[in-house]
Amino acid sequence: MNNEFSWSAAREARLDRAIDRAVREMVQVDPPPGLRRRVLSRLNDSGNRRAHLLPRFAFAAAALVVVLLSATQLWYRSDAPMPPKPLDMAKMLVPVAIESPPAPIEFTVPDAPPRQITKERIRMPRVTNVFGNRHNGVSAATVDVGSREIVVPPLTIVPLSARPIVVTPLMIPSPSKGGQ
Amino acid sequence: MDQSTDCVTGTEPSAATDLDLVRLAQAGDVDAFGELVERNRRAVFRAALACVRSPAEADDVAQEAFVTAYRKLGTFRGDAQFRTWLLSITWRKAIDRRKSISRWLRLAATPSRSETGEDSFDQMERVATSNRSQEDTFVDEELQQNVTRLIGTLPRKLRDALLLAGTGEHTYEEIGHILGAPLGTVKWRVSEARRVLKKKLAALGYAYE
Repeated sequence: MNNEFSWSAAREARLDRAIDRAVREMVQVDPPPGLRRRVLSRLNDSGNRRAHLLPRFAFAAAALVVVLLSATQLWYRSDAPMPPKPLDMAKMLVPVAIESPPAPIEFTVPDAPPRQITKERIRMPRVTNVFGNRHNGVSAATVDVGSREIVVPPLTIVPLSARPIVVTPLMIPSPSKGGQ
Repeated sequence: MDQSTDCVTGTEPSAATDLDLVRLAQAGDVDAFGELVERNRRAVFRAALACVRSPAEADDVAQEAFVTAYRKLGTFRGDAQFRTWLLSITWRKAIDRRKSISRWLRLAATPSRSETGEDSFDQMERVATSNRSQEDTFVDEELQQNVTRLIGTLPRKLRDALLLAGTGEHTYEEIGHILGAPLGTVKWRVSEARRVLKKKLAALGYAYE
């Protein structure tokens, strides 16, 4: 039994030695001479290369920024309509001579009210009849205006963010003799 | 170069600690860093070799590790040992190299040693120079080749631990820091690697019970 045990131990020791030797041969290798010199020369090279590359990178970065800015400007100029200034819109209104000229519309930018956040519940007014009360009033078709022309002031619709839509003045000819 | 630098790097290079040299290198003293390279070159090279298993590639990795360490010296605060910090950088570089596609392509294009007949020649030469009986030597050489080949088939975690422990340069604590594993895990991996190797050798006919 002792012999078997010693044989087994000897075989295992042999395998252990083989493993140790194989590992040693694989990794217990000295670095090639001159590693310090190579490292220091790489440090110098990288420093010099960086010094040479810096102006090139700066120029390339500046060119890229210019191109990007130009593209952005072009994109926004063609895509997004700018809202007209209030002063320009006032100029677009054509004064029309009528008997009772309406009050000129002034476009002013109201001062934005200070934003307030409230937690109170705001009740909306209750709408019962959107058409109003029924009454026996006359319509525009029955109005006798005689021989005068009716001149309607130009209608200007100011959208929220687009250019104003201007509708040309509507000319309504005087009714004929036989008409009402 | 100032007087203190001369003192450290010129006349008494071994008197300064790694931390002293790091402080000098952080101040821009390249010679002090060169001294750090000299002190740690073997440990760095062998750690890289344990990972990539090619001396030429290990040399590349070692250079890259030192260059990276020099550039990152500003981030080294001295909480850990410089050597441990450097070995961590080395290991990361070696892992990157091991994973790189170009390396796989290069290995695939290079003929193996057995194809070139290099192994058989080396083996004959070693047999001829040995003092032991030729039969014993031949059996040992064959066993050695099988062990080397089987180490390559080990799972990476086991193989890395086994090879790092076999360098003779790193303590188990250092290996644990490099691999990011606790000390007990490192010891278990080394032991497990040996056990797996013996089991595979037994399957090949080398008696092991």
